[in-house]
Amino acid sequence: MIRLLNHLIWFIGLIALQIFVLDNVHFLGVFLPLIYVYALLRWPSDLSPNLTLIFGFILGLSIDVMSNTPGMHACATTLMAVLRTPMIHLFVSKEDLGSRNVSVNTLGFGAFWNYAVILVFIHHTTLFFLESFSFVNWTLLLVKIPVCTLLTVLFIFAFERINSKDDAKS
Amino acid sequence: MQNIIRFIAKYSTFLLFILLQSCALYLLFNYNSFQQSTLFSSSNKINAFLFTAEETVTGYFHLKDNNNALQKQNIDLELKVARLEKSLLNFTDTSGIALLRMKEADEFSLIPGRVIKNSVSRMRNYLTLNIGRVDGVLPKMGVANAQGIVGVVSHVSEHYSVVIPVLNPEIRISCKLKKSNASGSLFWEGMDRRFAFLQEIPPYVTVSKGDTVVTSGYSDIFPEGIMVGTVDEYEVGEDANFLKLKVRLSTRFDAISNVRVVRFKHREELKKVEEEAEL
Repeated sequence: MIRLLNHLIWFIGLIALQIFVLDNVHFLGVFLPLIYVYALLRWPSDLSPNLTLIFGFILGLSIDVMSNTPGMHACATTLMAVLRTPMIHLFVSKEDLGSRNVSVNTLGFGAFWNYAVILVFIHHTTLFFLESFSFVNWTLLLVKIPVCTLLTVLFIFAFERINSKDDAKS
Repeated sequence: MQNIIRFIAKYSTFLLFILLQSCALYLLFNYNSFQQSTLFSSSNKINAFLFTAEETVTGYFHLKDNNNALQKQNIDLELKVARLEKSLLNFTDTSGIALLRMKEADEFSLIPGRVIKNSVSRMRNYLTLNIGRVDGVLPKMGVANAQGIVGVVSHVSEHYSVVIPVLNPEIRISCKLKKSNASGSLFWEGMDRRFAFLQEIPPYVTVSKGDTVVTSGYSDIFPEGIMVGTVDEYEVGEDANFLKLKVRLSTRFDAISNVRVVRFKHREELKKVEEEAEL
């Protein structure tokens, strides 16, 4: 229960950070990190996949409601949520995986970053393609996806450092 | 039936995924119809509250820029006001000084100046102006502002000039009552900066309180008709041959800044012909 509370706080904190801070920061005018996906990345792996899906959907929908883009983020995060479990199992066998949060400590450095980068890339690709249904600018899109992925991953790296230190203490 | 339940149980995640994704895409492609509904737009109450809270914090970040912009705007407006006030002066000037520029431009000209030193509380008061011989100022020229007469220039250097104002017993200015044209000389007794006295008005002249006193134009110092003040009290003089009028001066000497020096263009000529006549 306390574990879920922890996730809830991260959920609210990351959404607030995304909406109130990062959405106002546009690197070079167009690039912005979508850090809120980290809440889904570190969601526990032992919970039912259905719960993970619903969490992903709610996460995306919350961002949508705040930024007036109904369905766009929800679609991307739901896709990310469904691909999450197979992606973890791709890099780590079920036996190695504890019941704790998904993090560098539990998955191992290489596995976690493979997992994170691929999911973030999928999420960003989906999101930006959905976005460009209305704004057709393919060259920008091709630059935007990798750059934003890089930015998001950098932020996740920073948060992961904070979290792994906390985990080591406890 | 059982098969269906088993199928649903087996593929529950996939079905849920399809369901949620459909919801998301439905929302996405019906964006326009949802724009009106307040639920998903930032006009709903919670969002309004949150974004207002955000604005109260982030609003401070732009204060400096806003300040600069406002300051710039302020300066622009101030300049505009100054310009408008200047042109407005031509219409609101009751002393008639600005009208000279249009009416008798060939006879009189005005030199604008600013008072840089002023005294009102002494027995003999003086003003200093920031204009001098370079600007065309010469001794014995009249000085007035938009309210009325100020005084007469006494000393002039290259860039500065000293003015003896009405508030100095050393000068007497020829004035007249606007209504009856009876003339007399204005002098100051050294007490109250608001009042001066008009002497030598013949006793048969009917005077009433509030009558306007203007310059007479009997000299080359001031042209005729520049505002001096209004009659406040009147009494018969000591020898009963003349009236003595207490005049409320229209010029506020304790708050004087912009003045004009009146230059009579044919001064030299006038002086010369007068000298010839006296000889």
